[in-house]
Amino acid sequence: MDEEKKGVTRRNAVVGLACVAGSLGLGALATCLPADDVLRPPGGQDDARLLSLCVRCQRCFEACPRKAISPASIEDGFLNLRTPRMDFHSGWCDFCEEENDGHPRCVLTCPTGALRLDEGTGRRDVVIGKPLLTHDWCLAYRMTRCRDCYDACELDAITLDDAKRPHLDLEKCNGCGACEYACPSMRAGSMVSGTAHRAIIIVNVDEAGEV
Amino acid sequence: MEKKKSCKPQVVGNTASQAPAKKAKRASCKPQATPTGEPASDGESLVSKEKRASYKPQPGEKRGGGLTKFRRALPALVLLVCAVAFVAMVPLGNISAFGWESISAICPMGALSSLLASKTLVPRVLVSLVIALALILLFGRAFCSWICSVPFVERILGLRDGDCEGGRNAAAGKEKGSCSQGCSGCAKTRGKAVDSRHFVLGGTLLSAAVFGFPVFCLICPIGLTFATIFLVLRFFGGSVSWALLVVPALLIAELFLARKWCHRICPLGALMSLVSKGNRTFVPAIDKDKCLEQTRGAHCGRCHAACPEGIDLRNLAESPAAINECVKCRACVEACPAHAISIPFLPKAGMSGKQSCECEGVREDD
Repeated sequence: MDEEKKGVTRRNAVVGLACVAGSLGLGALATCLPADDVLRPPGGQDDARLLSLCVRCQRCFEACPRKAISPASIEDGFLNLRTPRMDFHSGWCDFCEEENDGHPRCVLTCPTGALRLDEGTGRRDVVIGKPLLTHDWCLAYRMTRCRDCYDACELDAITLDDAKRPHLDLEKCNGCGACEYACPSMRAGSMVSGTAHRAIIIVNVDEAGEV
Repeated sequence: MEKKKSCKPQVVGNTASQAPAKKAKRASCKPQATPTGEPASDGESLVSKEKRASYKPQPGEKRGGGLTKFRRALPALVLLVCAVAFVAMVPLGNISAFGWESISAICPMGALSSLLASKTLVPRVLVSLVIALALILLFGRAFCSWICSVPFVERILGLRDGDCEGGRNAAAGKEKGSCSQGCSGCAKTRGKAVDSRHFVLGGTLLSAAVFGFPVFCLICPIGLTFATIFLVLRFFGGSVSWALLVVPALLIAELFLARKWCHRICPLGALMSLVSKGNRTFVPAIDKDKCLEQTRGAHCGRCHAACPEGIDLRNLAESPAAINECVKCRACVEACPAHAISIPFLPKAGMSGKQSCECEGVREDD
């Protein structure tokens, strides 16, 4: 009986150690693997806080009336997999001003408070990202007189020069994505060779600007 | 890799000194009367001749009544409803966090992990956690057999036969009896003693606290199942990413590498079985006046053979799994040829259930 007990204890210890080590290993692996800083929905700008609370339940993707939130893919890093990121290809974010009086539905729905806006903060206070304008791929810089981004911007963060080409006013932009959503480059019939993404996209603050 | 270890070492400690005990245990695990089995005592042959004519014989093959069919269909229905809601842009959520607008029932595992990872007390998470724990106290592990999508996915992948984990192995080993026999030897008594699931539960919670994010949510097969559905739907909506391959691959890899996920790994199941120790409602009980073993001394054991968790209701004291592992699937109710088992809301007097398990064991020894 004693030997059995010992055997069970030893086996339990090994199994237990393996399970705990596996769990810790998974956490360490996800933390150590490279992960991009992805653009988060309103209220998720503190990335560490968002990751600590997000249970990857997908409620925010569903809640977004414009489908501007998508699950982060494996390219964004294992740690970010299935966490919310902004996707301005199917919509842009006005903090639900039209749909819900400026109270973003994703923040309202988030069951763990991973997306949280302080009382009174809204569209003008939160910066989701900043724009990056690539002149080489921009149709306006090919003298097509395209001004879709200029028309889309509600915050007057895009100005047109004398040649009707767009320029950015980074200060005014909150990264709502309306310009990226509107930009016709990289869409059917407007492909410039070598284009990797739309001519104007929203990126992290430190990558923003005009190139 | 580690996962396999959890079940292998059944042999460890199988020394001569405790062989008799082991033998006795194994005997109780076997369905003493498989319909094709050896002739048993007089009492049994009398009973079973009539019984066999009127009741379907194979304990594993009996598919049960409408309620069982409904239970089997429910997880698929939940997946379908969530998928339809997603397409219709009705934000209902999914099992991980089900609800409407700001009200949602969060998975208790996710709630606990996020509390530990963020080290903050988020009111709505706390409320949700308390409600979830109350539901577990009321219904035990019913979630596992009625709602959870993992058994459904396992059936699709051929990793599970009916209610039995282990897929073809379990099907082939039907004559061996109890569904979970393969793992019932892992712990001394599943649900009473600590087993690998509890270590995964503790490990993932510790890991969440250390690394600052809900670690288990990253690989939770329920979450991955819903993610797969949503990714496929989004794919038809024109959105493509590597996640479309990675997420289902991760899900399938997990379920294939860790056979018997529910019995060996699932920390949610472990959490529920721990809380279920306080569960006193909907506990299956045998009506002694009807049980063939009690009334006629027959060897039957179909309730034990049918139980996906390996609980032996007839003798809870020596059951390979404790009653708090009960997933309320009603397999025993359906399997009992004498209709002696019921799952009453409150335990009834005179029935062998949770309350009387100790006395039951003593009586059988006599």
